[in-house]
Amino acid sequence: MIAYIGSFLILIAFMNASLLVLSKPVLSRVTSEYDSLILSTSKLQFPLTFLAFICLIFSFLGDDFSLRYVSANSNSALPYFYKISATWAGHEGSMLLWCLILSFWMFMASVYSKSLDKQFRLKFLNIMGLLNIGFLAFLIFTSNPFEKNISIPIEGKDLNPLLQDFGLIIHPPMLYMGYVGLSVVFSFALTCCLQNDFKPEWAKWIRPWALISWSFLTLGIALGSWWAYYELGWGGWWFWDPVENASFMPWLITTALIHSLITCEQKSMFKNWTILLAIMAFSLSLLGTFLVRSGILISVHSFANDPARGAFILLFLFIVVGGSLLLYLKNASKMNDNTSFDLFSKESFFLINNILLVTATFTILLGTMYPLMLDLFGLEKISVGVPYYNSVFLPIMTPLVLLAGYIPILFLSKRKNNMTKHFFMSLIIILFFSLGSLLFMTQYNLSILLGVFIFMWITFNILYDLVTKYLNTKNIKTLFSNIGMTLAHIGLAVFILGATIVENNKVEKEIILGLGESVKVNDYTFLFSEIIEYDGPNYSAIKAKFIINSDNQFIANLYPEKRLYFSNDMPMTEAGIEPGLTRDLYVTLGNLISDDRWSVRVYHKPLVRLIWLGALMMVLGGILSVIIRKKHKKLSTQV
Amino acid sequence: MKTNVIFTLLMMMNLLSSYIYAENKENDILYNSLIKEIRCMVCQNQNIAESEAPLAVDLKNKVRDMINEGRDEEYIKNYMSSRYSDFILYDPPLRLQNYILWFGPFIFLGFITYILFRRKINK
Repeated sequence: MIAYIGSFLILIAFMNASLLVLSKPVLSRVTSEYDSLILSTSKLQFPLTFLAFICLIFSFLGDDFSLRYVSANSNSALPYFYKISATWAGHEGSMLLWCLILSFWMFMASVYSKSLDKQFRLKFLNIMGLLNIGFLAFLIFTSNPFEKNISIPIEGKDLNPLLQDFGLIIHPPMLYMGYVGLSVVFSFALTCCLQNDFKPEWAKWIRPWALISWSFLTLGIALGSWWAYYELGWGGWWFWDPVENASFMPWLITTALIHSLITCEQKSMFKNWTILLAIMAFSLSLLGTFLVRSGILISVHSFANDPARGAFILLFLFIVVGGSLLLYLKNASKMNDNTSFDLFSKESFFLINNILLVTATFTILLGTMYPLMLDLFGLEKISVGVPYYNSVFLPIMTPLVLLAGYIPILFLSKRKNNMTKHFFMSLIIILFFSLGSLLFMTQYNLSILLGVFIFMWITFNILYDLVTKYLNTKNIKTLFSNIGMTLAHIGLAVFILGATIVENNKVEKEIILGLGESVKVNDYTFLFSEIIEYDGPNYSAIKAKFIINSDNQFIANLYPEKRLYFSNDMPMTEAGIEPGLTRDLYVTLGNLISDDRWSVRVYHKPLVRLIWLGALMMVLGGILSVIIRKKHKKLSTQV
Repeated sequence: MKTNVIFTLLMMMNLLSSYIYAENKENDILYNSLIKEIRCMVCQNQNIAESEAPLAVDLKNKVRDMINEGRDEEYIKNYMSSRYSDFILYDPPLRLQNYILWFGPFIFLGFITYILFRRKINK
């Protein structure tokens, strides 16, 4: 029954979105009241989709195995919170989640767009309505989560054991909030194309949306990385997997976008370039979806695959991206800004920032698509991974992050000789401190020095900038309006420090240990003391106990596991991790070698937590920028 | 069920008979970096460090053996690609069919800089 209501609600939502899109061409001949219909349908879409989503959750909670999607992704032994998260663990449910979030963003766009010009607002909501129709059509025709089984199984299969995990409950919704949030920016950019203009106040209006999407993307990517670190059992935090790349590309472009929007707003420059970035950001989200959902890529993310879905998404991608680029090419030249600027100016450096970010995105796109292209043309297959990105992506990103610390000091003073003075002063101070900090490390090389230098360079200069701005104005508001930006950039610096140190100073040992034997990694002794067998709700497991000491001081007990889920033949590894701000200790249990002798991996990961701490600071910085901007605006209108 | 787990794990045991461990720290670092650059051919986009498939375990042992015999990185990579094609290495070789992959980003950088900066800078 619930499933029928869900099915029905999806159809109603589809009709509602169609009504939104058709109201203007049909009703405008009869009445001028069509605008209220557009506004109400654009709000109604969210509750409709939300109820459909609730229906799917209840189908999971009620073990309704008459639904193909439920029986394929859940069973009655699954704990209830995994039953809820199983709702978006497979293809059909995650597409429904996508539609839900799309309708949510359309709701928000409809509510918060009163300040826009009426015609502009209606066109903008119309484009969002079109996107809703596209994704709902995809859901209904190729991926209906409410589809019935031909014969009803007594028991469902299981949720993929890899996905039975807290990180995986929240990773997809956060990532989708980011991906789909970009649809607002995209629809807005297309409306600008239709209006042949991009005014500074429009840039001001759209920037918080870009910032919020960016924050969600950052959070989603960081959660994915954190999950991979503790769940996949070999201690890596980024794999350059095509699916990760698919989320990283829109992130990079959105980063470029939030910078170029500043120039649009303040100087009314880079208009058509910014529009292009907005189109690219969402197009890359769609491309990511295509790559993941079509089954071209094989990975944990690509569930069950069906060529019809691939064909539909490819067609949809083609229409949306092709159509918007055509519209852009047709109208962008009318938005041309022939303004010019100095080589040593904020505009110039923001443009360099954009160029480097777009080139970095191009590199990842090439690395992801090139093997597919070679395969398509029947050439020899290759794999593109860490070594490629280390030698191509990192050299492009290094000047970018150096620039992030350079821009603040460049504009502290308008006079040119003062600029050079500031530059050399901070350069020398920071170089001195970075060299000094190496004395405290057991092991160092050139990349560590560079990482430490970049960390200090960004942090020092961005704080210096904040303090100087405050001292110049003596106004506490200056601190508030810059705190988000400052925090996000320091987050970047913290991330870089963590990534550099952990990649260069980590210790990884893979050895065979018998019960009662121990292994020493740096100052830590790992004693293999016990093997325990136990049964979980839907698996059996073997758990090892490791006692960790450092200089005869007890640190922690770690319990790495091997689990065999009833529904799956391959054993799963659960790492034992002792987290810490300065280091993680990480143990995984490998295979049984002979009686009571096991292969074991033991890792010491210095500063690895800074990777996610830095990302969280970026997220918080992005959100603060949006909130404080709003507050600030209210204050200024009150005064 | 418990016996089932142990049985599954025991099945993998014989594959590990050639496990010999390097005590040397540099060898350890080389081993750990190499096993992350070699693809597990039977898995879904995993390297052999991640994978516990029999082939991956075999290849890890092979890498370990070659390092203990004193072979260098280049030798081991050549060994792998000559047996399993370039697909096994996450480091695509620099040859004609991959030129666009390796040089494309830098050409793109020059191109886009020219497009965006042309006529924009005050002389």
